[in-house]
Amino acid sequence: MAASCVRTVGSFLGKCMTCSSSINTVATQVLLSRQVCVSSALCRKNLAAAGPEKFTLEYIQKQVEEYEIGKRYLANMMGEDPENFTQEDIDRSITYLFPSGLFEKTARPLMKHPDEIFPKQRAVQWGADGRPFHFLFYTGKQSYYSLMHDLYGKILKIEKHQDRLRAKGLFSQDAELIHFWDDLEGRRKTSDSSLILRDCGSGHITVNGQDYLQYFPVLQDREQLMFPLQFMGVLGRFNLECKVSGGGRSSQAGALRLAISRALLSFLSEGDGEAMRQAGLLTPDPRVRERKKPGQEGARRKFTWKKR
Amino acid sequence: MAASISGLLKPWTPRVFLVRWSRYNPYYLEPEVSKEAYSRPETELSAEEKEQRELKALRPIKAATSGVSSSVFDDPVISKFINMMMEHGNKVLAREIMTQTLENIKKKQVEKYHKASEGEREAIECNPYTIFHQALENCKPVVGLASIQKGGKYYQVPIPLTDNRRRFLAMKWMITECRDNKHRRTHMYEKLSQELLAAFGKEGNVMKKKYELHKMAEANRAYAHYRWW
Repeated sequence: MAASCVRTVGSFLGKCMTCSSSINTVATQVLLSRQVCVSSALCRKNLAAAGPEKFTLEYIQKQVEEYEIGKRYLANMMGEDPENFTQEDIDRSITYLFPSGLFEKTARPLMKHPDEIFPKQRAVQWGADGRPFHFLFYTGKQSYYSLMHDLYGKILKIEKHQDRLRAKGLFSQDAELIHFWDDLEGRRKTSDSSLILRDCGSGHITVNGQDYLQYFPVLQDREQLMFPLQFMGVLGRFNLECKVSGGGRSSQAGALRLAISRALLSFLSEGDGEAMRQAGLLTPDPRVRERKKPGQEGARRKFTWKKR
Repeated sequence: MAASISGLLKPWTPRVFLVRWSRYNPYYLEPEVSKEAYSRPETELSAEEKEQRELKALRPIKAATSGVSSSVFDDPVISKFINMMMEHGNKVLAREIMTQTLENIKKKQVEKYHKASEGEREAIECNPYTIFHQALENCKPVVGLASIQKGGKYYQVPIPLTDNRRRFLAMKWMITECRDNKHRRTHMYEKLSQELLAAFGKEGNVMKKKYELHKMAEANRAYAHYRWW
């Protein structure tokens, strides 16, 4: 509908300014051909089958030309400089020339650059002979794979450069990646936790700014915090700085336990990681509160059965 | 495309609530929490255990519950007993009662130890955990009774019990006996410790109940062939 607006406005301006007859006749022809309709039912079927309207490149270029010419005419009409006629000036002029009382802003007369009006269509990926332009077209994700390909090329170049520097003796490795700390999250029921695990510590645990003895007064929760550390035998080695929110005390402890186990994975060997997985420390617990059902008192409990 | 297909074949946990189902896919295996199970080398294992190990390496594992841990103080039997004693989800109270019971048992045994003469001292058991386990073992019934209908009448037929059922019955009798048949004003831990020590010495109401059940089973021995499983 917007396209037809542009066409009508452009053609109107063209008519006003005695533009070349070709545009006029084409416009009228287009208008005439548009009005002739075989039957409404057939029209609907055809429209549904075609999908979104497809515009050819030439058609859009023609629209752009018409727009540019129409802009200059509009500027002349308003008595302004056609060279420096911006989009705001166009909007102002259109609202002045075609005042509309419609409440729906998108239904009012509109003159915008065709790129903003016509939907962006993917340019045809292959040439006239049917051969695609991009060499990775047949992978299905040409941009992704071409990016990976470029990345790999760059990595190889960097490694070659490194080898050259090493040969000259100029290459000095940066400081060894000492794994100091690990930042991970865990979830249980409705609790979320995140913690920072620091190596070479003394076994301090801080939860939400408080000492863990203060935050978890129940022994069972503290046992859950210590479970992965005790399982791996690294009780006094790490410092934990935890943040936890949501849920109750037991689910918070469970969320923290999961986060601690995940954080420990990066400090330990693969065999230990496998042992932790088989101990059930790395699986997030999927159990949540079961909903209450209608016709029952709770999730499982039924109402008292009365014979009559 | 290949990734999505393999994603459908993996054991998945549905996000929507499923009524009457476990939240875990049945593919998941139970976790093994004790540290010693992982430190055993290959040579010590029998064939089934080796198979189990291989299976565990391939299958996903359920999460460990919040009542278990790998510490030395954690006992699965005691955890089960605490859960059975718990009312309205008050695990803190149930655990408190359990620890007080064990403490009480220890106190009584230590008192007895100090009062006893040299010869008897070796026979007195002071470890409350061993006392608890032994008492529970003594309370476990060997056979149970099932109500089977035959020819319009219901007969009490003796049946073998599974290990889990026996343990459950022993714990249940212990708890109900302590709740109902004792004096109202005594604390639960006091009642429990008395009953556990009695069961350790093969006396007490729970042992009586077990012997009665055995007698009934012996009496109804004639109907044993009514059992079809």
